[in-house]
Amino acid sequence: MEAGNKIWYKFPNLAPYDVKENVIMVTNSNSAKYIQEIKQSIYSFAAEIEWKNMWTLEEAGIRFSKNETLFLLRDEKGALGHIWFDQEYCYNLYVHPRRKKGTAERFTYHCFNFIPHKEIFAYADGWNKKAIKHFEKVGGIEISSYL
Amino acid sequence: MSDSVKKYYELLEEGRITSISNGTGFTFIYESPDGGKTVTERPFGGDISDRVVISKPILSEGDKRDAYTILSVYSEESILEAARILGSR
Repeated sequence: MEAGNKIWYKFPNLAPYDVKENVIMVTNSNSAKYIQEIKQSIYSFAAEIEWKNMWTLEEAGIRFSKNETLFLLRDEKGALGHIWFDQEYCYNLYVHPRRKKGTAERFTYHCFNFIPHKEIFAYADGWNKKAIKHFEKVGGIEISSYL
Repeated sequence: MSDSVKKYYELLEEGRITSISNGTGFTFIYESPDGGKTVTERPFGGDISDRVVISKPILSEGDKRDAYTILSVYSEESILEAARILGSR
C-alpha cells in the first residue's frame, strides 16, 4: 500500500552497529564550525543531481535551529554524502556515485548509532528504486506490510 | 546516590519527565506541567532557570509509530485536512 507515491519504512535501530565511517555530526551547537563542509556537500549533490527541492545553507540553518541533525560523510576527496535526522525521522540521504561498495549502508548504520530511538522512519518515492533498494538493504520494513 | 539524582530517576519512572540526548552529545530533561501542552527543555543537571519552552510536545514511541502508520496509509491531503479540523475545534 502506498500513500500517494510515498512508501514509508520503519527501521529497527539495533545500535550499536560495528561500523566506522569518516562522518561529521553537525548540530545547532557546532554548525558554524562546519559551514565549508556543509557547502561542499550541497555542491557535491548539485554537481550530480538537478533537484529543485534540494536544501540550501539557509534551509540547513533553519533545520539546525529546530534541533535537527546533519551527518556529513567524507573521504579523501571531500564531501561524499549526507543525511538529515529530525528525531527518529531521517531524510535527504545522498551518497556520491564515487562511493565504494557498501558505503551507503555503513554510513546509514554509523548514523543510527547516534540516534537515541529504537525505531527510525523514512520514506522513498515510489519511482526511486535506488532508495527503495537501499532502505531494504539496511533493514527497512514497509509499514504497510504489517498493517 | 544523592537525593536530587534519586528524585530525577523517580520522575523518569513516573513519566513526569523525559530524558534524552538531542543528538548534540548532551542529555536534556524535558518537563511538562500540563500533561504535554507546554514542554520545557533544560540540560541534565542544569538549573530550573535554564528551562526553555519548546513547542514540540513529548510523544511516546507508540504515538510516533501511529503517526507514521497514518502517513503510510492516507494521502497527505486527507491528513492535512484532518489536522485542520483538529486545529479549528
